[in-house]
Amino acid sequence: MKKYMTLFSCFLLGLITSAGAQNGTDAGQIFEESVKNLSLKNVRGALDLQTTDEKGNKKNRELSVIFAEFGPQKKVMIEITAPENVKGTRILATDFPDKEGIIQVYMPASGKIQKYRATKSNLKRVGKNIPVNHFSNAKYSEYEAEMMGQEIYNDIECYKIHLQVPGETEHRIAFVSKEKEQLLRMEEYDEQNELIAFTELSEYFETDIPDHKYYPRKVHIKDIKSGKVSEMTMLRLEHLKLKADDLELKTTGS
Amino acid sequence: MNKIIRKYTFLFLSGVVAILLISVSQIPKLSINPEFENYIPGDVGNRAHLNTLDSIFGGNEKIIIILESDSCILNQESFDRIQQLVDNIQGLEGIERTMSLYDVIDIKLDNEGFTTLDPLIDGIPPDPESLAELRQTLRNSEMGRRFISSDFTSTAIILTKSESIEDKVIIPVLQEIIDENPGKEKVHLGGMAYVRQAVKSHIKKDMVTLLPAALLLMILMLYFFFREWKGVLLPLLVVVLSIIFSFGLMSVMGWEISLVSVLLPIILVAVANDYGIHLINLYQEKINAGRLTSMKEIAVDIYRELRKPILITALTTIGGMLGLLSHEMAPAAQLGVLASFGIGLAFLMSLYLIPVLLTFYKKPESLVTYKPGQAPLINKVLCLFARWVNFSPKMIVASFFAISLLSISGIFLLKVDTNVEGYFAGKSEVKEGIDVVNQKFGGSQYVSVHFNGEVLSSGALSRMDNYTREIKELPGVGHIISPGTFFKELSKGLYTPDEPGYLSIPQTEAEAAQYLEIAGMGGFSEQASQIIDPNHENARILVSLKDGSNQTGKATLEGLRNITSNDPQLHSIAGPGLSKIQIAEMVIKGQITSLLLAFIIIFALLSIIFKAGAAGVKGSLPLLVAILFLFGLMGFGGIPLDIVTALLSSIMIGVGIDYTIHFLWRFKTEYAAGGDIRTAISSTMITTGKGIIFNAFSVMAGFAVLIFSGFAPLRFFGVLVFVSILSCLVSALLLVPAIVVLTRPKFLQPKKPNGV
Repeated sequence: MKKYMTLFSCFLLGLITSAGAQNGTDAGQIFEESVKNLSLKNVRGALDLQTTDEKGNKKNRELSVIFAEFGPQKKVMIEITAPENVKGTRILATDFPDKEGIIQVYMPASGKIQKYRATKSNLKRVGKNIPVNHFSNAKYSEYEAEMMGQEIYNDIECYKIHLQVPGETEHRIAFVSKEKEQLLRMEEYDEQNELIAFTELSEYFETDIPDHKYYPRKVHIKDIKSGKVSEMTMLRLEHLKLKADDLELKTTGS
Repeated sequence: MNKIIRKYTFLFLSGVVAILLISVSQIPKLSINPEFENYIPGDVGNRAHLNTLDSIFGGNEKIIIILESDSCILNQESFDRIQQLVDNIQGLEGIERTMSLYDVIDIKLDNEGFTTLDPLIDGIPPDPESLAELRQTLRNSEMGRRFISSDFTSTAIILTKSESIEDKVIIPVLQEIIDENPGKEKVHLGGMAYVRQAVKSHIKKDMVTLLPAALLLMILMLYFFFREWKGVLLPLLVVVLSIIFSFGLMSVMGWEISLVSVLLPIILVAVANDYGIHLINLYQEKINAGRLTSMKEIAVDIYRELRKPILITALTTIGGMLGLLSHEMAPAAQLGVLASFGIGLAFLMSLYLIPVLLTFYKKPESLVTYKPGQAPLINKVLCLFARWVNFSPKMIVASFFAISLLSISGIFLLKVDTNVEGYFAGKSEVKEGIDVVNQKFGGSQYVSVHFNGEVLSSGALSRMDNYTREIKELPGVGHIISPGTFFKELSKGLYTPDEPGYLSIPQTEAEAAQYLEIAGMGGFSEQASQIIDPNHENARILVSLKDGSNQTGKATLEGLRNITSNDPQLHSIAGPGLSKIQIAEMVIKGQITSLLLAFIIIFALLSIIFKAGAAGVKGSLPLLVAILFLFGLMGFGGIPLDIVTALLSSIMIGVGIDYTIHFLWRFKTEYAAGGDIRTAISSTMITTGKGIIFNAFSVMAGFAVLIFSGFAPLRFFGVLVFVSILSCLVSALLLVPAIVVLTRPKFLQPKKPNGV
């Protein structure tokens, strides 16, 4: 489950960082522009997700994901559509502007819903690497961006942008293509300035979703410490008109 | 020999030097491998299952760091120290997982139905009531009990060690981290990696101090016997060269130095020494006889007289050593090859190098160092032996028979224990750590009960849950981690205590799979992956052993087998805690087969050489008696049979048969010359008998030094080598001649001239 959260972190970066303090710098603006595409609303996507652990064990999931905004409230619903034994498992993350968010997980086998408060400490644990905290303003809103220069990445000339919460030692580095202002790579560093994880976004394709001309088909995430790798392939994206009630989880008898 | 001495001395010596240089150049490439598991073939039994478990679940070995306080460990200072240690250790290369009390999560539902994932301990409360409450919470927490002792004086940090990291790398790093984070608590290390590393350091330390002392003592003994330096240097030169050549071969073959191959220099010291000593002994006899005029003549003469007996002893010893090839344990088979090679070279060098080198010396006038009419003590003892043999041979044979019977009864008391934890006794730091881990934290050696197939089916989960309950009742069991305990913990975040799902296992496979999805989301995927693989095709119950003895391991293994015997999804029961049982079984089986093979080879060789089956029987008998005595003594003395002590019998094969053959060969010559058995016995005693005593005592003196080691296995080893050599000596000087006197074997009779 962590993996799903990890992947959607990228999609929601814009959603979150737009609320954050970019200090109005060039770097901040470039970064914000690059993630604008990734912050989806009123969209349903169909995804293939493959995770590989450090031993080479592979796990495949097919997911349906819905991003929605209802005024100030933001919601993301992920539903596992395959394999059979976990089909129907749903995760709903709700972000409120004035209070802490909620993450709910529905288990179809028991009909039970598990609820978590999206506090900082919970979010550190619940989906450790990047994950669920990206559904919440709690973390990324505080990031500040700084231009480091330019670098060639995968034969593409990119801006190299440093992202850090003031007062913290962990930081991130984003690689944004100069020409198309697309986010291509995000690196995560720990207190010792050691690279602990990275996300690569590639195969941007055109969409017919308003305000989201391009979207990455492939997202590759590697957790260097644990050796785990996640590969996400976006199969389909479609625009939806939704009401708040459409994204609710209800317990069923069990 | 004449040609070598006259024409080819320089060429011959150059050849020896060249081989020496080649060997020395190869030795630095040698690596040490003390890991017992690696002694077991990779596709066999426990080792094969361990490899499977490792590929599915990750590292199986734990290292435990324990902080022990004089009073309650639940104080802020101690907990800050634990956090510092964990921060420094987490992410170290070679450590797959780090868990402490900080990682124990208390899962529950709050009043509003939200799942809370609060650490079981989040700081130490200052007031006594809250502290008492915390203690109760810890007592009630199954996970919490793994990390804190029931008396609350100690807490543990449990590390999962990666298989790829060597003990000698990770243990010093951990010790350094502990030193860099000082505090008032006493810190113990536990776990097999630490114990193995401690074993290696102890052995290294003792070898550096005791081995030179042993060699020095050996040198002094040889000088005491021969009263001249060539009597020391020449045999020792052969020993040193054969050791170097053997280790050179080890490197060329790509073999590693193991706990077993440490016996190689010891075998070579005991056996290779023997050839040189007999040559020097005979050389001194020739000098004292005064019949030969030059060193060259003496060199040729001693070569001629001793080439056959030395050849026979070398062949029989090599034959005996090659019996080790039947061992399943690769290092033991390698020892057989290397020892045979070393002995072969020692034979060649003794027969050729020693005489050649003797020619470089000036011929002394005489070597008699005692006053006329005043025989040295050794001669008096040998004469006494000769008197006993000549006049009471039946008593001697009967005594040996009685000792053999007693030894056989001792053999039934012999225990096999390949548990390295037992190497440490008394107040050693290692022993303290072992005791704390075993007594307060359920042990550090784990066994996995591995299931495969549809492991999340309700049937499988239910059976595993039942097994967990039964396994808890086994006496040797410490902690248990199972899929059942894991799911029950997770259920606390979904169900209130009054709901039926609370502390229950999932009822369907889908529910279990969804539980695991949620567990992954909740940050528990690491814990889950220790017992259920990501594809849900393998699951295991992890059981810790309260102590590492073979006895506990065997009893627990039997218990686990009984409990899970009919389970259709049981794959295997394996673990580092069981490797030593497999090793013990291999050691015993290997030792029996290699001894049997050795005896068959020796019997055959002796029968062929002496052209009589009786020679095979009588020649092997003293060796058999000596081996029975050694193992009987170990049984009575409570010295367990392990990898090293079991192979001591290989030393005895080398030494025992040498002494016997030298005695018989000389006796045959003396008997043919004098025609009287008693005279022949006496002459053989004070000539060859002396050489046998010189060899035996020099080796015994050397290994007696190990008795001063602070490390129990080395102490036992020193005692056992001493006893082995002594029993071979006594058998050769008393039993062999007594049998000869009683039975008058035909193969020792002088050949009658034709027509008579």
